[in-house]
Amino acid sequence: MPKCSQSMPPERLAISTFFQGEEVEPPPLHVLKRRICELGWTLYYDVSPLLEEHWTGIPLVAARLGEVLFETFPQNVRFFYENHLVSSDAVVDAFGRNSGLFLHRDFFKGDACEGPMPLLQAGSRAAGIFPSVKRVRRIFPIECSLVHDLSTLITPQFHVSDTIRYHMETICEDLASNTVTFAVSRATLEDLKAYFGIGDDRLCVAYNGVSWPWWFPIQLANEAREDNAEPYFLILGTREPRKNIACIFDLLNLFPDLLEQCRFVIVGRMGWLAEQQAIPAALEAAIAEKRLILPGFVSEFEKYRLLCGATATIYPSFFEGFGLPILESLSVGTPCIASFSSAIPEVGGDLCTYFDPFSVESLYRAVRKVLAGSLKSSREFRAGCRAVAKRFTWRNTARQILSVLLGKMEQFESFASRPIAFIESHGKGELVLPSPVAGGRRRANGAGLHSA
Amino acid sequence: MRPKFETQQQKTTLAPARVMPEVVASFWQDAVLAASIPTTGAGCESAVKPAGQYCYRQRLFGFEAQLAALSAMLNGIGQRLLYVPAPELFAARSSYRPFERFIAPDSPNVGLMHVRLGMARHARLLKGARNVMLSAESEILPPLGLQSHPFASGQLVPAGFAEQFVYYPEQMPLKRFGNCELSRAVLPAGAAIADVSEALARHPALEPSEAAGITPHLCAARGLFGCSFAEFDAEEWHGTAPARMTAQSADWRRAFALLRDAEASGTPSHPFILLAWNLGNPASMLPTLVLRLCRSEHLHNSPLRVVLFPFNETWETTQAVQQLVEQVRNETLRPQILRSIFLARLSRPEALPLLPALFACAWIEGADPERLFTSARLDALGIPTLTLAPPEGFHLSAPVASHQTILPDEELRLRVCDQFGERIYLVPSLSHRALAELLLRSEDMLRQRSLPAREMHHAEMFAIHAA
Repeated sequence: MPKCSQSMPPERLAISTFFQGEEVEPPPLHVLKRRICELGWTLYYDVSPLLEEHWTGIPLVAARLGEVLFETFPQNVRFFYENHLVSSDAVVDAFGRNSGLFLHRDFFKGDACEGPMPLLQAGSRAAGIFPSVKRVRRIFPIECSLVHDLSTLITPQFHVSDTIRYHMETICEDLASNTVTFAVSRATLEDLKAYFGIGDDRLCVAYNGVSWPWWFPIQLANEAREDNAEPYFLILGTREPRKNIACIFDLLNLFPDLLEQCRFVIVGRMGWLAEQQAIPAALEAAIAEKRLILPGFVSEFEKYRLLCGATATIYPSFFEGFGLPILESLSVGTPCIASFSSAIPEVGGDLCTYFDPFSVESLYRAVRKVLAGSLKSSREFRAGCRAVAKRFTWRNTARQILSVLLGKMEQFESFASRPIAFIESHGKGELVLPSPVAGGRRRANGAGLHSA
Repeated sequence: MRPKFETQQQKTTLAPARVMPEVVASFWQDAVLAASIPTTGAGCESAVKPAGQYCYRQRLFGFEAQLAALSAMLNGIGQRLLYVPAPELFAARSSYRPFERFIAPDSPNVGLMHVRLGMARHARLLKGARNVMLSAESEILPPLGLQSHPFASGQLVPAGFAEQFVYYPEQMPLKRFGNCELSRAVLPAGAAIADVSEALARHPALEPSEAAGITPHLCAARGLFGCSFAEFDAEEWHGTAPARMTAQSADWRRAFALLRDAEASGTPSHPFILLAWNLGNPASMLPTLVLRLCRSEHLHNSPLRVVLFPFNETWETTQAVQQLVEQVRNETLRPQILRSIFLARLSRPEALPLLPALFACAWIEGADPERLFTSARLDALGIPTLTLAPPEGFHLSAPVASHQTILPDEELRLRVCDQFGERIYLVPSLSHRALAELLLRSEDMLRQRSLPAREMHHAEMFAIHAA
């Protein structure tokens, strides 16, 4: 796997060297599959994020990863919600629909619930993969979860209290009960280390991926195309304050000349704290004249179509654990103007045009730069986009996770005959992380087995 | 239980600082220094800018005052301080480019040092930098029961912090997440008031006798704005043009006119009481106390005018002022009282020298974690302080030359629900009767401050003979 390409470092600022982690190429998926099957392990995949109706952000990541895992290990992957098994057919059906609406209905009111999970006996070979917050913990000998960002801790001003509490109440328990924790970017991994002091041996990066159904390009190619379509900038993301959509409104308010030259399309469902993102009255005329368009939530294909046709996308977010829309934009060869915040440069590398999310002038300069150039048709840019699309795939995400889990499974096997090591319980602010082997043995033998 | 008054003036001086000024300079050299505070950065137009360009909402107390003081202290040793509204923004190498603009051409390779100011439970890290927590907090009142948020206690900071700087040795030591000790260094004496000293060096503090010459117009011109509870307008309070608020507040102008009348009639002038309200203290009893004052007859019958100075306003507490005003408006029995209780903000250092002339004394909450820092600044301005209802065992006197204490005579049960979870605090408080005595006590202080020196001498002699 190629290394993460980033812009040149500042020349005269001696910042710490936490950026210099080398990425290790994980083995191919079929090798991992064979070895895990040989060891006889079952992967339990938590579907709680998939019960949402609209899959964006975390539910989307959970769906794509679950889909790849199930495709790879149809016999060895089981789905679960809290302490109950979930029908694989119902989950696969939800993957196809790209929505959890029916899965939710069928689990709570239909026949998608396959009853309580079997009590995992001592020495059972079961690994739990939690794609987000763990609703239950300390069930499996090996457990891992994905941390998408620490925004509820670091930028609580962008969240409502209930969301903050939902994430913060269990984060210490989640991290402590994980054999390994996966962060979706190195920036998020560094946040976990910096805020919770977790050691490198318990943290790994598993980058998100991007994939489009194979028929999208064909369907798009078959659509009638406008020859003189007007250029437009696309802004993708749930309307919430962290996404800094207000910066776009400020841009259009301060530099109305941009609206004469191109249109701006802001796609995404209305999130929370809407009062902080009110559209200025001065832009109402632009909305009436369809120079500024807000279509709300759109289907996956509509999103793909808009992405392909855009002059560029703009991603002004204040804080991101990964920045999926940037990847989606680059994967279809559309340039992206993005803020230089948090994990965004890690994903966008040298392909994005960066700006200061606090500075409208900085965004204006970036927009002007993109409008003046012909980046989208540049051969180098397109080659870069292809490399990004090849690097960030869900199969690679699964490889990164499974290669680490395989290591833990092998450790578990080799230590299976050793005496049990008991771990002290811990309180708040004292994150005692059990060693994977000792923790696994303890739980496998039933001592201290409990769920939250 | 009757409240007890400690009338004896306490003249405790600072314990010798473990870090001398020249050592402090060594902390900062060969580094780009950046400070951050618990604000959202709203209205900020750049991810990195000189601290001097930070637009203060108020700078009398709290984390904004800390920023002003640190900036002034570093100016004094020839160091430049930057302000970063969102330290969490910086993670990838390329994102650090904005710092490069501030590196002197002759320093080819410098480190990055981040000083976090404000409440410990709001601490944020600047990755890639050496992170130092400069804390103004002392003991914090613990809530009842368990807290769900990892940093709710206010005594833990993220694991990435390298060190804790404090203003006074009596301050609360912080721990790193994981219960690891954090090494501490005490800033040199005067670090908490560096900006106040600088302001007083430029414009000497006005004497109480000069109060009559101070007009609301002069205050507004120097950055001191106020309005009564009756005239409070939330939009203007939160907006960026507080001058309009002052201009429209007839009550504020009337209170100043009364100062001039009092001066002309020879009665004690400057009847303002400064009430420091830490919005960042979830266990604050001040809203209850203000409500009680407004509901009682005592304040109505008193010549005193209470002026609240809210500070440590974060995204979470931004509505607290409005809520209090609305509650007082709804629950007071005498609407006239709303015209003699005020809210004020001091946003420029030029206004600092006006305060000693305007305020007879200041009330500080005894359970306020930042009470030492607040009282030190008031002391530097020559405003005597009265500490209200301090919990048992809390440090009170460290840096203050003169202050009095009124002990609690009842306990409040406060239920708080915020990002750190739902919790209950048992807060020492003052009953109605204690509040009446508090007002009398403050009037005494006002009379003492207003007596000319010779009269004071005669009064003291008379007291001695009488004894």
